[in-house]
Amino acid sequence: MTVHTVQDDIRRYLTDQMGWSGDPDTLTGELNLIDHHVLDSLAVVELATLLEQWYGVKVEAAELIYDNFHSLDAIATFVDNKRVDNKRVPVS
Amino acid sequence: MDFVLRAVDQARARSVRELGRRLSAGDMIARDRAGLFSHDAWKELAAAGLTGLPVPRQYSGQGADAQTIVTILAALGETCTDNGLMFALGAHLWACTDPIARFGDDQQRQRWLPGLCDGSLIGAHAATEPEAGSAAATIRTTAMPATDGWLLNGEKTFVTNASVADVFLVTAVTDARRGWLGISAFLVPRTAPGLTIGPVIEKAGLRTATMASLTLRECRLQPAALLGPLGGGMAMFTATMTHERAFILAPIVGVLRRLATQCTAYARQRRQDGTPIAHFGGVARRLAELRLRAETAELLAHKVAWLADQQQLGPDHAAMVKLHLSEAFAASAADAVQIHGGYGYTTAAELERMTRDAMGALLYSGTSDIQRTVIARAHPMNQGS
Repeated sequence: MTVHTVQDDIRRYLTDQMGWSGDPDTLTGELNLIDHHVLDSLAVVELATLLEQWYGVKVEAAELIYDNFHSLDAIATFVDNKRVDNKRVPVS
Repeated sequence: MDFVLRAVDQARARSVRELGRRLSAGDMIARDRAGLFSHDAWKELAAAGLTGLPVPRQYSGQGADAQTIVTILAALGETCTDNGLMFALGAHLWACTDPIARFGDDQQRQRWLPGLCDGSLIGAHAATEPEAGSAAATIRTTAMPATDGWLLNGEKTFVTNASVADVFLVTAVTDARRGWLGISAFLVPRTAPGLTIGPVIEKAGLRTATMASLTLRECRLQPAALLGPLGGGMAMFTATMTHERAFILAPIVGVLRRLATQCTAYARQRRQDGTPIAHFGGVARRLAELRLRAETAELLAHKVAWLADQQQLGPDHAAMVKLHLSEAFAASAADAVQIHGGYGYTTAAELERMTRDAMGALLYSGTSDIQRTVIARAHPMNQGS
């Protein structure tokens, strides 16, 4: 299940690398990462770079918006959509 | 890895060094004292293509890659003694022109970039507020939707180029409920109704680059003024700061080279009791440090440019080069004064101005403490190896 894998990777990044010290159980898919100050603008840029490395997707700066990055669910969906886009063969 | 410049870059560097000499001619001391921005010098920078270096050719820019940009700007710094002018160029390029090229739609690019590249327009970035400096996400300026576009209200300060700029990249809150993802970016023409530009803010150095505050009172903008997506302001700001920190001090690579050469020559000809002062241990140590800083600055600037060309530039690498170049600049300027002794303290030697200019480099685009914070908190990714 791709969505769960992406969420797990990000959850691990937030706890291991970003030093997020809250209860891991509260880091649910729906938790608002902005309201709870889990992600700031610098962390999102770094996370975007990691998403590119982990999943081979290209994340533009203009895509770092609320709809795509406010929760683990939103980020996982964003990555999933990107991977689907990558697999599409352009019609020439 | 090849440390020799390509022939085409060598030729451009020679030509830019000549330009730097011309821009430094005349009474630089008087211009610094008066705090005068030189429109004539700006036209010369534009004629040489420097005001549009990173902009794609289709929008009248040079389309230069990052390595070439560092080479050219370092060549300028090698001969140009007007650090304020080079700072104004950096602010124009990295804080306004480059973001329009990267994040603007075609209409915005067509409207602004040709003029910003050919020198007829000057760009500025208005992010800092009286209560929001490096914590750029805590700004209070708001942008409310209006029937025919946007209405902006707020105060911006420490805006480099404000007194002479034609267009301002302004960040404002469009949705307070979404925190830093509720901030958006706008392109504000100097002629926008409701925009007032304050008097020049006096400062210690970089005096030929002007700085002022902006007041936005019911400042009315067209819908097309929104740069990038709604709510994308902070992400674009971070991306903009990354480029700015990576390249704004590129001219200082040349300045450091010049300081090392100048100080070595002076210390070899200046004698005390018949002995060149370069032979004294204290002075020799300073000369060695000057050389070392010049070399390490050049290497790091080109490494970071290489990362940018590979699309691997992160905020931490940009912070590292900004930190290293600015601290090397301040240390080498102070060493230059020491080596020149009492003469170095005189205005005529033009080294005291260098120390004042270098003090600014430690502060703009984020203080040294901020750069260290960015570096320390970054995930040490395997970039560039």
